[in-house]
Amino acid sequence: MPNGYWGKILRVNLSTGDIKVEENDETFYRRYMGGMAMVSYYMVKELEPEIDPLGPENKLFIFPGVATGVPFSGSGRHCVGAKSPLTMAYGKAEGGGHVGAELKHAGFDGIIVEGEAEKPVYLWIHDGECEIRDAGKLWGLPVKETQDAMRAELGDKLIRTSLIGPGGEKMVRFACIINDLKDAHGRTGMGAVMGSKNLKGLAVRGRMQVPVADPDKMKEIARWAATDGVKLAQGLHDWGTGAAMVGGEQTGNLPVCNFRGDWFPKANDIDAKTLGQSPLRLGMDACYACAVRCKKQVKAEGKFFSDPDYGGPEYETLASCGSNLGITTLEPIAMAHHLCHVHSLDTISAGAVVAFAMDCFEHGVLTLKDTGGLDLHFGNAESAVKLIDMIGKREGIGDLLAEGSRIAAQRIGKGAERFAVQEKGVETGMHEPRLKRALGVGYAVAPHGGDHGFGPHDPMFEGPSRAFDEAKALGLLEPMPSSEMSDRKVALAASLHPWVAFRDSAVICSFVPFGYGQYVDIINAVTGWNTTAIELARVGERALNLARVFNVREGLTRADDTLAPRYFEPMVDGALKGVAYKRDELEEAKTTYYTLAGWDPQTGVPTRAKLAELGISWAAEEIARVPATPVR
Amino acid sequence: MRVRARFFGDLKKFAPHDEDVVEVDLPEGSTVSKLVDAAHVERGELWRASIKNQLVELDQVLQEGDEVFLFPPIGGGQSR
Repeated sequence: MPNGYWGKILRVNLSTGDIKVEENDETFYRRYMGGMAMVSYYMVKELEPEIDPLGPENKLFIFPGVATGVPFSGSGRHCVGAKSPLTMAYGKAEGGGHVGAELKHAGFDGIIVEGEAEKPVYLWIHDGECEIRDAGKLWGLPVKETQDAMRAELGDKLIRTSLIGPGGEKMVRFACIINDLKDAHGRTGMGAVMGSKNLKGLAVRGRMQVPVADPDKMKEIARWAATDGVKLAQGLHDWGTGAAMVGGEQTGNLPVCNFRGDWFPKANDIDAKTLGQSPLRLGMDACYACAVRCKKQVKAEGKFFSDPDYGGPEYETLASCGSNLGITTLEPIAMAHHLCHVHSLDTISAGAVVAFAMDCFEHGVLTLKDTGGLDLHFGNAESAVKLIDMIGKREGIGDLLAEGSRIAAQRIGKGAERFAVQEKGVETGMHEPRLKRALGVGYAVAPHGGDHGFGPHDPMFEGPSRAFDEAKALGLLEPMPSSEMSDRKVALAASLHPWVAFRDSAVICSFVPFGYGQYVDIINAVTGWNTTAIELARVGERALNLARVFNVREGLTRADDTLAPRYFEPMVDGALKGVAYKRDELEEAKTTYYTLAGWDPQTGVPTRAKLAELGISWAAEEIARVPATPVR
Repeated sequence: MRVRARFFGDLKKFAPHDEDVVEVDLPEGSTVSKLVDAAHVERGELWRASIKNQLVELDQVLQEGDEVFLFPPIGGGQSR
């Protein structure tokens, strides 16, 4: 087995109680490397089409990557995947913290959780062993109380946890999984899948060091990341994400009141720098081995409160639970973050679903009768916080909104679909595609819905920024305006997406500013292989193509690769007043993207030739299983 | 004339003494570009500038007392 791996994948069947350790050969590890690519592989191989994502036939795939747990900045993340209750197709989410590294230190390259436990359970994974334990007394507890109880029961305060709160137990479709107390596998409802299996979470403890082929080279890379790398990410180090919200507002990127497109003069009041300079922020924290330390610790007291043990709001939360709700002060945003962590809800989707409800309310589609007397005008912070709590508990209208904005809009009718800002059922990240055109293509074609992490973020490629300079190594030499929509812009997205998928497979954090050559150095230093950038990009392509095959097999078509209706409307005011995404422009971009990706230009289905190039010809047989009638 | 540059996100690294704002004396008729250079901001790191909540080009002529906001490219975490 190569360095960087143990060659051991844990398979736990919660229906039967069986626990097995499976081994794969080196070719398997080299082909998929971990994270998203392994999730994609197992999803296509092991999940039958059209299963209920919240039924026992679904499986939860938990995969660190080749880099996870090797001590250098950016190696603390791992990926969780399953059929998603939001997309009703492919789902996955990366998360930070320490659990992925701890899992590697416990001797495992991944976990496959099958079936459904009869009663609530959790997994205790430590030093090459796994045990299914009773979680009857933990069921119903918030995330923090659950972690406290698990550590007390197992007698070890250093145990790392990956948990759901009551929102996951109640299968809120956008429930997430919280690593320790602060970091989330936020997107696509992985916490709901965990809850559907009566699985409260994982407790993990490991004491083994991941074997590394060239320790001296790894130390050199780790030193660079902790010194030069941190200098390049100084803003993140000092303030965390969200320290340029005024720039977002003044250029049109900041979502305001459900992405209606508007000025937001109070942007600076909810900015990460303002937060950092206020008494609310107690300090900064880090994922495993990371010197960037971009994680905030925020404490609020009084009417709006937040426990600093749950960390603090990232940019996505400052926007989703702030400007996008018309909320202009930090305390209610901190409390929204707090409640999302108590219940294990994705802060992006939770905020976006409240924004959806507020837009419906302001347009008379929802009334006080529907909301149980809750005034849902934009800017009403008390109502927003109350509604998030109701969603976590599935109380009142919170029960409907817990289905996510796509399903809620279908049930409400009356044109509510217009206000559901989601792609493939996943509420969009807090970045404006009418400003960032290539990001709009990314939102549309991503197999897992509107993910801002999929990128690319057009402003980075307008001129000689670090991201632009790095991309020259991939042959992307021409700067392009953010507003440009052209074949070369689509080519930028198509060239960079495999690298995003590689990074999510390895798994390496995008906030540590490694260049593409450094990714090659990392993989070679860890494994001892002789890899190149070409091979790493193919790992990413493999992840994306298998995810695409999974979605094709579920009946998704070209029509599902689209943007939320909101983005085809002109922005009402602000820096981009009157600007809209054009439908024909997007359709043309999709055809170009499919062609560049090696997919059928019209249907977007991966071609046999592309699958053969990637060494996954077997996946072509899966495409042949496409149902006659798309089911969603 | 005296003008100010205010740094956002990663541009803060160009600010002296851990401040996020710098005051500079420039000749009458100076442009935003001149201020950017005087504040020692690398052009490649700058994406947009604004004065009084309006985006401005680098050749915009400054007035006494202007405060220019300098923004890095807005990426996946806003400043990256």
